[in-house]
Amino acid sequence: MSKRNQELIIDLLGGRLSPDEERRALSRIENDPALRAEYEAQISALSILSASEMPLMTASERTTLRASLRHQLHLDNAPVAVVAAPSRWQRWWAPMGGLAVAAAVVFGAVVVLPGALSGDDSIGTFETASAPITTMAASESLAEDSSLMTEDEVTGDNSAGASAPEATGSGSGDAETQAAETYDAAVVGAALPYLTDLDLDMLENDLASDPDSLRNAAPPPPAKSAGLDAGQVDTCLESLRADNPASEVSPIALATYEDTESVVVSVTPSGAEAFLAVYGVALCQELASTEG
Amino acid sequence: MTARSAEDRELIRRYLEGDVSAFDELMQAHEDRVFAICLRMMRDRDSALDATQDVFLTVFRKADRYKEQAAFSTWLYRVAVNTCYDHLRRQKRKRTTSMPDHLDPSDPRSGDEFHAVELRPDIETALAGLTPEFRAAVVLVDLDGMSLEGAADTLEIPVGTVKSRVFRARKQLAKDLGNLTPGSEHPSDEP
Repeated sequence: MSKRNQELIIDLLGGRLSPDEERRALSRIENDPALRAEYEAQISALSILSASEMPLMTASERTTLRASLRHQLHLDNAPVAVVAAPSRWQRWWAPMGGLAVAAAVVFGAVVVLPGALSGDDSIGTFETASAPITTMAASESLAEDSSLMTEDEVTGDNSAGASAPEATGSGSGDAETQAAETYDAAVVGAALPYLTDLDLDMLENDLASDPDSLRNAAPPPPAKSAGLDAGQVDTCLESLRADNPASEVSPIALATYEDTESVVVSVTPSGAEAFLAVYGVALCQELASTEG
Repeated sequence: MTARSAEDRELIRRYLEGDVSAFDELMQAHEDRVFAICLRMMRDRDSALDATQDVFLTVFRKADRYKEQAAFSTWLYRVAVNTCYDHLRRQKRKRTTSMPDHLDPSDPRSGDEFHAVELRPDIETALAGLTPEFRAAVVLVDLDGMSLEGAADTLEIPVGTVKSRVFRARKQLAKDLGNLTPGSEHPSDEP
């Protein structure tokens, strides 16, 4: 079937032809069995499709959707649990609140991950790094200053906090030894785990359910020996922070994303929820984000 | 500009000024259509609800970036389709998709597959056999009633590509639903 004939049939069925064009088209179809068969198939499919009724949400689904959106968009002060019963499609971070998520993510990145890669010394690595260490300050303020969270946010989901001490306590093994030997403590980027097959949404979900998960998912060798320029990572992070002074920008991991060497960051805008974003390090351009 | 389009712009303006009632009015105007697109794209109700939520989160969070040159609905449905693409990709990677609909048992009233189709022309099942790109085209044009130009704007592809996708999607649907006559298949003619 030629493209011209396809368009002829589509236009004919869509009422897009003039009366003369329509007459000529129908004549052609009448005299060409193959074309006629295609035309009839199109009519057949179209008649079934046009008989389909639009699916609707139930009243309960509609109420839950709006309540969840209102909560996440901060359009009201009512807790989600009051305005609508939780359902399994409600996003994991809705009841937790943005700051709690930010704390979990940043805590995982700053405290758990370096510990996983290089043992107890890794936290010291961040403290002595020459690159800007706003990451540490951010994690401290978020993870330790519970005044930033409501009581519900602090206690609503304690799985992240419960798993973290255990994670920091386990920090040995061949992989970790190799990581400690190869990364450059002078740069933040090189101390991050490296993901070879990044799915940002999966990472977000994984971190929410288990802040320790990235440690298990990040294989040695670390970024530096994987060919990623750690200096560029630091430059990109500095640039991001300069461009977003009202947001906390914290590196989570390095990755190859759509064949581009990238850095994964947690971004926490002031007064808003944290999200993950991927930036290509060479040009420091955003490649993907879970913001929406 | 249509009345709906003008009303949407006014609602967006009010929402950005902090008028929460504008949120409800926008939701009321568009939530069913967005959900319908998501359900037909995702095929699974929970996934569709999740996608619908993500669509509106994106739209309301980025409402300040909405450019009034385009209709709000075009932008909204573009976000909807792209969100569904993202969710479908994620599902594929997670490999946690539920059992395909086409494995559902046939209509027990029927004696064979052909009559099952005749008795229950399950459009949703047939849609599941299309690629997401073809499905999006046929959902917007044939199920949602969007014009070819509107679908082209929404999908950000040329009108000719929409026509081609719709044509091929309908052909596939007719075949899957058992309504394609034997002599009408010309696979070698496919582009």
